[in-house]
Amino acid sequence: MNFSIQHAIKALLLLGFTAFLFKLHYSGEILKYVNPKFIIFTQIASIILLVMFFIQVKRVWENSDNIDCAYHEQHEKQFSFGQLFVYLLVSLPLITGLLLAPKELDANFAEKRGILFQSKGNEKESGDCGQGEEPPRTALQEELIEKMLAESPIVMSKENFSSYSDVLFQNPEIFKNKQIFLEGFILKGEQLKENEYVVGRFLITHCVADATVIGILSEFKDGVTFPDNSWVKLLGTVNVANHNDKKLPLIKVTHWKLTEKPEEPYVYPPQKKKSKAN
Amino acid sequence: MLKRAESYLTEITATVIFFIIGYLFYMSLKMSGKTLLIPDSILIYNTVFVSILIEALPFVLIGVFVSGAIQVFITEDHIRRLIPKNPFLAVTSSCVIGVMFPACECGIVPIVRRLVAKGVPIYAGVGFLLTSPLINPVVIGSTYMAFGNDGKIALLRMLIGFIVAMIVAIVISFFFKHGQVRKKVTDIPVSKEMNRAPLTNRIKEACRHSIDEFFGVAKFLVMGALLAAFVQTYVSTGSLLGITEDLVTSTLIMMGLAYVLSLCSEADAFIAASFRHLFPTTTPILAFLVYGPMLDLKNTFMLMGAFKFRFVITLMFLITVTVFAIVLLIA
Repeated sequence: MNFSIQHAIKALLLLGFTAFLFKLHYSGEILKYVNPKFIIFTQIASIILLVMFFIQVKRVWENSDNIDCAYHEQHEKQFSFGQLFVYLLVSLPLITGLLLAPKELDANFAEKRGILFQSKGNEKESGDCGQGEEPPRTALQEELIEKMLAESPIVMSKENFSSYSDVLFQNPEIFKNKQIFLEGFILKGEQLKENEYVVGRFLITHCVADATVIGILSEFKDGVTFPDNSWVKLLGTVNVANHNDKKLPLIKVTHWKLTEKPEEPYVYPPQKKKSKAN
Repeated sequence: MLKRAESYLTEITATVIFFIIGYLFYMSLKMSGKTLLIPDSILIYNTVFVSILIEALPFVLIGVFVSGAIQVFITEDHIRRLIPKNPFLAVTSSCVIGVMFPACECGIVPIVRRLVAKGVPIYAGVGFLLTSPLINPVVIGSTYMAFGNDGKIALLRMLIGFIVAMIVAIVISFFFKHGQVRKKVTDIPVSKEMNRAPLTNRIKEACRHSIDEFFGVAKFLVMGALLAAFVQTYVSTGSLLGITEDLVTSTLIMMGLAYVLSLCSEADAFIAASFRHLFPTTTPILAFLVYGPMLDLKNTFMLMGAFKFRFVITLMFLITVTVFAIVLLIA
């Protein structure tokens, strides 16, 4: 029987990661890292890690004359500063993840991303397709247009934000003069006029590292300014603006107020059958 | 007394570890109540860093377990019999197998490393490495959705991806025949006894290999995530874009972006779609979509950890040149 410090550290780290994931699920903080649809994968991962811990802990005191241990002794002698560095590196996310609270992405991050005030605008204009300007809409899009036209005002909620804005960007004319209500953070782009701001939200596909901004150009009254990282709720009418020769929805804001950042600030891609493999 | 204690050593160790972890978590909960004066950008950096790892973890676990199973259950003989002798056939079949085997670009590295260590020719490994994360139902689905339910981009992405993978693997076959794996102490061939050992023992052995593999991969993954998260938080990628109308330059910029952002291939389509309005054609977007799953900052570290330096550099160069050329040619 001899004690293997390497195997002990590995066991410790495995249980550490398991506990970290359990904690994130328990506290609900996991939603600040990943899309809710992805949570099931991390749950499975945390259970696998726990099983790995139980397998690993047996090796801490294992006899080195076991069949699979031919390489262990070699291993053992290598424990050095290099190894120490490696284990510190691997435990880094554990340490920072526990000590530092997760923080929601803010307007600064959005500006670094450099995503402008349209999500996936006029795709069919891309020169190389050579199709007509009006792409045939899918039945699903038609359905959404119907639904949005029936609403007054159109209410962009957390759930429908990405699908509604999609439709809005592709067909701004249809919604001209419709009232619209939305909530988002304020983003000041460089090419914008003095009283124009982008009101946007982060779209998370898997995790916050793949966040993109869906932003809608909004025109406020002259002289309105916002402090950094403001969130607003606003009511306005849809207009069509020409920006770099492209038609864009522009909201003429009639009413607005500053608001607290919502509990769940992110939005997610629309749920569709084909979207994920689970 | 000592003898008895010895027979419970494992249980005691497990309990001790449970207590250590419990104590550390208790302390961290107590501390997290206090507001530390840390700038927001560092907190966001940390959030992005941890989220990259959380996202990658399930895929990496699949990768290391497949790798562990290969180590124990597949012998060098199996591989010699299954892989065609002809390099062209071997490359083609490996690319096709890659299409059928969905993985992400970080989960695939340990699998390929293990296969090559077992005697799969390196060029066949490359074909598998390149098609598996790029061409699979999840990626097709998300690309289709992200581009407003337009199948053209998704189709082109798969097509170009497959062509690039074939070309790179064939060129690799001229330069590298086999080997190229960084040797590790765990790379011992399966012993004869193990082949006849009862199934439970073999499963146990596979799990142990998976654990070692996990730690082997984890350090590179963490390093990659640290860098990728840094770029995402502090480097203004927006300033790179929109500065040129030139097709060649914009294609190169988008490839560079795909490399540094290190997005998971299953989640990069929405980002790509959001860049679309910046370019008059879809070519730079396609370059982003094809290049990213094959090569990025995160998996460069993992490749460096798994294969020899010269090989990784050659591979990176080949992928870059081929993606660039093929995308400009086709689109």
